[in-house]
Amino acid sequence: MSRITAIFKAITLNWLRSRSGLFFSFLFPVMFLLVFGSIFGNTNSGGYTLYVQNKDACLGSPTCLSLIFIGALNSTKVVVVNSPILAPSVNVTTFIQSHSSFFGGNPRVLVIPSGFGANVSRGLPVNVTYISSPADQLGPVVGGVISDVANGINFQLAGARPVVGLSHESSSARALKNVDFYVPGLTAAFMMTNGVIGLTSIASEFRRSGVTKRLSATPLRKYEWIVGNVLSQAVLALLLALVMITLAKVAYQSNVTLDGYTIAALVFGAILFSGIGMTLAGLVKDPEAASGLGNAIAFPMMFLSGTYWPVDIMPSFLQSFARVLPLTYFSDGLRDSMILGNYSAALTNMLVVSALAVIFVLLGAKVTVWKEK
Amino acid sequence: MGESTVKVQRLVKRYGDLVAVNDISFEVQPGEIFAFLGPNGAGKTTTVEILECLRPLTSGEVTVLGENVADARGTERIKKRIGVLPQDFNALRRLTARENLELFAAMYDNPASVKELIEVFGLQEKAKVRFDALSGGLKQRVGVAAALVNNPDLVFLDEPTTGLDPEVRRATWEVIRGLRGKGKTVFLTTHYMEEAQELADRIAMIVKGKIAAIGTPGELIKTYGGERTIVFTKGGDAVFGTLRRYFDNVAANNGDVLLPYTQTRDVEVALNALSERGLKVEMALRSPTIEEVFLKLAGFRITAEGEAK
Ligand SMILES: Nc1ncnc2c1ncn2[C@@H]1O[C@H](COP(=O)(O)OP(=O)(O)OP(=O)(O)O)[C@@H](O)[C@H]1O
Ligand SMILES: [Mg+2]
Repeated sequence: MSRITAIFKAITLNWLRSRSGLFFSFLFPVMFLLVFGSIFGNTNSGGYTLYVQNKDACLGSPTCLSLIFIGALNSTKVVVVNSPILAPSVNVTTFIQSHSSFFGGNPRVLVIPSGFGANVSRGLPVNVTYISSPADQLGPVVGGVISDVANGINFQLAGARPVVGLSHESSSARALKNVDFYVPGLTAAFMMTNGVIGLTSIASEFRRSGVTKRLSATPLRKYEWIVGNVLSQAVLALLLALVMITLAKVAYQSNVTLDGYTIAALVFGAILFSGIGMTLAGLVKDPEAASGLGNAIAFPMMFLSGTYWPVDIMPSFLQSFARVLPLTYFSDGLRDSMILGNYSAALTNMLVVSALAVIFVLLGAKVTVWKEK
Repeated sequence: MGESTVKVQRLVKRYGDLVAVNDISFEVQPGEIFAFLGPNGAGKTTTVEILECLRPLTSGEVTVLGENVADARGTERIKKRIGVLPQDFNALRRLTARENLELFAAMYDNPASVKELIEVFGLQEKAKVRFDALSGGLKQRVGVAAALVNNPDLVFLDEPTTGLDPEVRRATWEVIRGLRGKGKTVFLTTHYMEEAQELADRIAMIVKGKIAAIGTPGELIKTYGGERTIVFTKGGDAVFGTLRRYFDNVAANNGDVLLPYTQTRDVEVALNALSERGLKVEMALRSPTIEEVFLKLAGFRITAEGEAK
């Protein structure tokens, strides 16, 4: 144990004194966050626009229940129903096409069908239709708000509960900003590059310079060496996450949270990517080749894992590719817990990440040379 | 103990088709400085790394400090009691000398005092300098200090002075002699003849994975060195001409006259001949060196860079 502590301390200190290490691991991600934040940061602070088409009319005027539903949506303050609402005669498909923009994507539209009020009051099932673009990162959030509101009305009508004021404390209904989406994404992506590029080149450099061999001539065991390295990366990852979150909060009043789930996810993610780093360094002897390979793996992974844009908008073959990339699960998981409050999805993603972490750390241990051939 | 510190029997090491160590046997006794002397690629590092339990052997039997290197438990016990200075020693580059020594110390249960090591090796002033900013000689000193951090019984020094300038080399020799003074056994590899001759109690000459000869420097010279030589300093043509009548093998070199001889009788003959002619000479006796022994055994010399020539 004391050997692991000593390795951990030495490696962390050695790393913290590296200017290029600090630059790529901290400054670079921070710069990215600042750039993304200032381009996309505060565009949605007033709430998210939702177009509503109300087809539920009785003798030409909207039914009472449909108006209550719309009012409830507005009262969440997260969603702003665009006024005036769309006339029942508007063709929604045409409307969406004509209102698309490159940056904003398609407008979000909710269609309340005719017969809504009548069915609801009789306790019959009725579906409202919500359309948002896959490119719209906030689409699912607004969807969540709508379904919360719909549930509230159900409860109210069934008398199962007293009137539920739809508080925006309900996790998915917290007011989110675009920058909130970049914090987990960028944190995940840069933790990945720290492991896959950074650790790979550090560990293969230790090997080339003979540091690893010198240590293997002491009673230090291979697993202690690996654990020390991985621990060091995990602490750096938490530090990075802390820096990113603090910056996002201070500079953009971001709402991301750092809860137990998130910390656990960060630790597993750090272990996973250090495992990959140790594996690459073990497989490739030459430090230049190893860091080249690290780059060749890290960059496609970064762009195909939903860090900068949602996986859903990519062509389907790239989507299936994204599904095999560890970073996809890690950044999805971080997003689930840090901003969406979707803990069941977070848990699933965390399970995938932790399973991969175990696999890669074991693989890294297997290929790390402790006794030469 | 009475037991050898290192015992190697019929050791063979292959890398694929290449036989790097070819059936060697030797023993190292407690408290001696034992030198492996040979050119680049002779198999020195390979052998040392097998003894340090860093490389598996192909065949043969090797015990170090009474433990079998091929045995996992033995390996554990050996690693606690040996000190290692690898060829081309490097530590964590952005840590200071002290931090690096503390790291190595933390690997052992009962380490020596890092503070004392720093003093003994005169590293006080450089203790706070990053490793990558140290000169080659200082790096090497940190390496030797690191090899002693566990108070080892046996210290391996793989080419400890390669690349150092002569002054630093001599200083390092003093350190190595000091180790013997403390009762430690030292296993040294080198391609410097002078280093082996100066330091070693016993030398094994290793050529192409084989031990060509083994013994104390005196034994090696006596057995393989052949003739000694009288040097007539600035003897000139007169001396050369005179001696030529008696000896076929006399040679001239830069005005010096060299006369190899095997028996003292030859010396008498030479001196009588010269005094008969009233030739006054200054002379010196020269014994063969380890270098000549090596040349004779291996058929080549070793350059300063360690290449066979
Ligand atoms: N890992 C390896 N794989 C294959 N061949 C190797 C390996 N290590 C050494 N060799 C070869 O084995 C032979 C002995 O090498 P070794 O390093 O033991 O020599 P050495 O006496 O220490 O030489 P040097 O003075 O260059 O350090 C050389 O021919 C070398 O090329
Ligand atoms: Mg060598």
